[in-house]
Amino acid sequence: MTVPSQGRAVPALSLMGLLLVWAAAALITRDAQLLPGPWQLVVPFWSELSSGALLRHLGMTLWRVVCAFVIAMAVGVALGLAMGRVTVLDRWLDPWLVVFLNLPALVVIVLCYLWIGLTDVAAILAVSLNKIPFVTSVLREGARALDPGLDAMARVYGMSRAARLRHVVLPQLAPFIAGAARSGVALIWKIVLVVYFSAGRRASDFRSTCISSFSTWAWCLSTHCRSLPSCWRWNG
Amino acid sequence: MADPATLGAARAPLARSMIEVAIRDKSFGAAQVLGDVRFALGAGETLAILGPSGVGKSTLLRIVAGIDSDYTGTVHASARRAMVFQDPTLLPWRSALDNLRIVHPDLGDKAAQAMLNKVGLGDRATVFPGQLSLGQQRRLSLARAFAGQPEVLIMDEPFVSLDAATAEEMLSLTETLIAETRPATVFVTHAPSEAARLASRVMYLAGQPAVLFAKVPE
Repeated sequence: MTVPSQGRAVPALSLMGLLLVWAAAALITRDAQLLPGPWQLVVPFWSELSSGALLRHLGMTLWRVVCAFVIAMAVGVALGLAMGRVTVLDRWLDPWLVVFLNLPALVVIVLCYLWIGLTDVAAILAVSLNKIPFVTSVLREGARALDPGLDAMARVYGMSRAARLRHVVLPQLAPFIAGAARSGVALIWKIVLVVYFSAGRRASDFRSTCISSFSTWAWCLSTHCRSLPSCWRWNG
Repeated sequence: MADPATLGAARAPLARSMIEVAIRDKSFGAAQVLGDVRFALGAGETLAILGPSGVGKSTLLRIVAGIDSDYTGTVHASARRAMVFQDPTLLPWRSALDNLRIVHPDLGDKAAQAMLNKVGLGDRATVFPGQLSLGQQRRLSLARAFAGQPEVLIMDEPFVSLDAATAEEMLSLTETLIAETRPATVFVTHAPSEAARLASRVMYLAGQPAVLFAKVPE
């Protein structure tokens, strides 16, 4: 086996290890209502999949995740860049950032539902508001670490704002944007599920959550399958 | 100690100067770094500034280049200016050719390639700065500076950290490019030999706060 193929096999083997741990824990628990084994999810998973419900609701959830992700990244990157570059703005907004970073996700979710109602707008806004402070704080650190030498070069040669952003600033921020996006998708996915639970009676997209432990696990498994390709993409 | 010199005052046609500097005060907090510093340069003139480390030479250049605007006094310099930094200060994520085209958007591909040929990097157009040696990066930095046909050229110890042969090569190249483009050039160096070779005038920055002297201050 060559070294690259070994590298590609590691995530698969690692996930198999996780499945084994899960199976072992299920066998020890011996209570499928608390922790069903992976083999016990095949039937409910197939049932949800074949009825079309799983894909339909998963599609809707993905759409909300994408909306919240785009909003959070756009606002967070702009705000983080501005705070990292403009000291006065940073002094004014830093206390706000600390407040929003520490505001429990559930509080934001409940307030959005109270103020806006049980709508998609409220759900997407709640998720975005939970994510924006995190993206902002990561990007602010990135903006603070920008190379002053390149800044000076761009200034001396009179580079336009657009050229500076595209060729000088964004390439330096790329690792920070990638980091915020990577952890952001995972965080948003988690918060979306909290939003569904909080919505209670209207959460038809996560309807199976209250039906049985089997379905809950089956749905959770399906949502995590969505993130698996990134294991190979980022580690391979 | 020699008398502080005021080069600018001695030059009659100030209106045609490419650089006019009249700094009265530059401080960092309570520490005044630059005192009364005045000079003027016309097209084709080259002024070398020598002085001990930490005296404020780079600070003076940053003011002339328009990077630092927090000082008391006035500085007028043509908008068509270029700077060769102590570090090459290239865009590491763009190719050698793109480093010229991005900074000079009006420069066509042929002109950019011709500039690379001129500095001996014609066959390195597609490589990234990280794949070039320090000497090659310095040449690319020089190509970037001259690609815009600058009226004002500022150089901050452009030949530092190079071995003798590469420094000599860079010196000859800079000499040729300055002779072709004839910008008003102000540069900082620690080497009197570099100053004597490139400059039409040599000044010394010394004192605390630092001022310019026409001769080596005693």
